Amino acid sequence: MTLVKWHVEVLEQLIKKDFKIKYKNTVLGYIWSLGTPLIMAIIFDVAFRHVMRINMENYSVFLISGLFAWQWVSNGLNGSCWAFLGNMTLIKKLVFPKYYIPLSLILIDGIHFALSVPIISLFLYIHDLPAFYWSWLYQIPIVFLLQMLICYGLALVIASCNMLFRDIERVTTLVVMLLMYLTPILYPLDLVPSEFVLYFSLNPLLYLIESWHEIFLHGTLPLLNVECMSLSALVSVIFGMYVYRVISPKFAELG
Amino acid sequence: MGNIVIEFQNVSKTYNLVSSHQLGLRETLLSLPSKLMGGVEKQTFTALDDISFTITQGESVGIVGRNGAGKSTLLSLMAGVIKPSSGRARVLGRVSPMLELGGGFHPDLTGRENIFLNATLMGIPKRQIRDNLERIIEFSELGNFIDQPIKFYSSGMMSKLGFSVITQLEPELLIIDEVLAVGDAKFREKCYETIHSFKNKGVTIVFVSHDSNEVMKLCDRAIWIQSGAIQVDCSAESALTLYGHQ
Repeated sequence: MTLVKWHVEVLEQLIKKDFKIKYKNTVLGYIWSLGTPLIMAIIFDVAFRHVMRINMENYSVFLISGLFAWQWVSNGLNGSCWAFLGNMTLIKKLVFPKYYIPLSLILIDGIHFALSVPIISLFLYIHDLPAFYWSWLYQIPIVFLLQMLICYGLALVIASCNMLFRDIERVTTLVVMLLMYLTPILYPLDLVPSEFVLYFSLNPLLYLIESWHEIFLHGTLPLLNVECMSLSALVSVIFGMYVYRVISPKFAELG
Repeated sequence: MGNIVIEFQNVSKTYNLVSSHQLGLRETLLSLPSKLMGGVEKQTFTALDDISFTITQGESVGIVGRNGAGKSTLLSLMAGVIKPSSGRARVLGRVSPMLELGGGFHPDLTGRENIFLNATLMGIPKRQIRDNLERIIEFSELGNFIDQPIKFYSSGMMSKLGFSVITQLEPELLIIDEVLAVGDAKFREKCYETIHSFKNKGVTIVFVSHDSNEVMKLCDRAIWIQSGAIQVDCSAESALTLYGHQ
């Protein structure tokens, strides 16, 4: 068997495994993946549009178009904490490319996100907005790929470091929550006071979420966003691979 | 002499007894200054100390020694899942390790799903697994339990599944720890038959067992390990005699 074929089959088996484990012993299974962001959207819609009276056109569509993508980030990063720890029976006994374990988890969350695009379309349609743009055919795959790479690099760091310190798990949960409020998901960037905008723009996830907003609401994808995301993806994957290479030789002794 | 498939040169393996992952982030940060000053000495345990040997293609080598002597560490080094602290451990070819009950399997998957996962991670093409699937299941004697998650398996069932996967898929280098001890007598007999047929086919075998008779029957050579060092490395008969008379 050629090396490339082996790598493909290893990744395939890991994805199959994670899918099975994800839906094991659940009655509603995949519905949870769609339902969670939808329910979150309803909660935020009530809290911000009806209670806090945020003044924004099509606020619920705005929420939906960012929340599904955010769900991917947050599930991916939180899930990666146990990527290696949850597979110690394999890691302790077999030699294989272990960096595919977090990749498989990120891909599965990515697939769920991709499957939620029709829901977003439906929301656009309900709100009398264009429910489809031809430009999506290249815009969605580009941003999808970049988001996958950004998340994968971070997931490698989190998964590897959590082998050394279980504290990383707690830190990740907090940071992901913090990032949700610091990224314009629940509010548009225009509402951020101008003196803070510079700091906000240092957050690489801002470009990601803004890109999804642009794509779903206007069918556009600013080049600046693609550039910033590409840079983030590159840095993230290189850093992730570096941390993985340093820690992974010790994995079997750490679990 | 055949080609060398396993080559250990001055291999040592030490473990940190109180390592940073058990301390958590805070203790690690707090102890950092003293570590940097060289104040605290790490407590270490030497599992293997300066081990050298080679195993050539087609040999069957028994590893004997008391509990805690370093046998499992040695096997994990051969399987490549841990790296030596110093020295060089080289293993050529595909390793089929059977090191521990449930090792190499995921507890939440069924026996059937685990066959695919385990064999793929060992480097066996999917088509070959599929072609041999029925044979593996039949050999395992698990019947309908093959579609149950293996976390519900008894240790005997786990051992049967593990052994079936590694033996029914043309191993190149077979590493077997004391996992056969839990199988029933009939299955064990079947396993030894299979192992002997591999030996005749020229498969390299490394075999750990407390059953001296089986080591004697299967192995031409035996290595006796004590306290992390090779005590004796010679013909199985002499090694076992010496081991028995210690």
